[in-house]
Amino acid sequence: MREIALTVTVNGERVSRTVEARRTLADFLRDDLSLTGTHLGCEHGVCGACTVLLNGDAVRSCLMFAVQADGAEVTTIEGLSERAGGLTPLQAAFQSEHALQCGYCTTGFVVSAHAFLAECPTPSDEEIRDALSGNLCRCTGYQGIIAAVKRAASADNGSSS
Amino acid sequence: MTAGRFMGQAVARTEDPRLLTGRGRYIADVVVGGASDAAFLRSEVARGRIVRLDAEAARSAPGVRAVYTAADLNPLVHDTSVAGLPDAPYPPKYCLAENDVRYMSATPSPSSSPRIATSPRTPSS
Repeated sequence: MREIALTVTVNGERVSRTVEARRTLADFLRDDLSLTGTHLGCEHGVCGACTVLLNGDAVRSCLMFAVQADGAEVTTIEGLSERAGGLTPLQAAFQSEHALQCGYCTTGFVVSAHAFLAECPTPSDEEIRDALSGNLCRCTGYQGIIAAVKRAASADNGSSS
Repeated sequence: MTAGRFMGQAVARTEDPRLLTGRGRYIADVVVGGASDAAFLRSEVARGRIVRLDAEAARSAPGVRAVYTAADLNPLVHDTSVAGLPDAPYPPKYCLAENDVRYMSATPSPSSSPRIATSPRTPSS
């Protein structure tokens, strides 16, 4: 197997590794860096569970090779969470609105919603639905998730939700 | 149970914080020494007869530990049909599809494609 050197900044930390050319970014994060908060649902770009930030943009880490992230900055759910273990306002909104059950799709939703709110801080319901249309949830349903994103957006804007 | 604690109010789930921060633990996150990954060949047709299965290329692909077909596994596994109505005809349901496939994504077993095979997990560094 062809091995390629790779240097990438993951959650603020510079990491240099040698990986097989065919290794996906998702497998690299999960298996090589033990960042298992990034989940694999469909492995072909449909479910969004593997969403991470690549230079700030939400991307599906199952559709990228690790070596394509060479020189880039990758942020995973671990990097969007507080090290002390508390919840960010977005994560707390998910809990308050019962926007998760099994949690498998949840980290992907949180990463997608994070990128979306950075771009669109005062979204309409329709914009939220559109932004999250690339993430699938099979147990909770979407009403709570949309409510959570809405609540996080209004909290960020200083108004009560 | 104390009614005052649980009735009429939302009870915060204790699992939410870990699930929301990527610290949940799912079966794929559990590292067991010597564990292999399995891949299944799935039917690409809704209905068909299995005329021939050639698993040789899969068996000889690098890293492959084993390739199993219906002939290997079905004798070891009970019919997995969910019981239907009494005396209603119901086709047998096998662990791996045997003789025919009756829906898309039925798992006839490995074919000649190496992606079907099982291979050892790459050890994490």
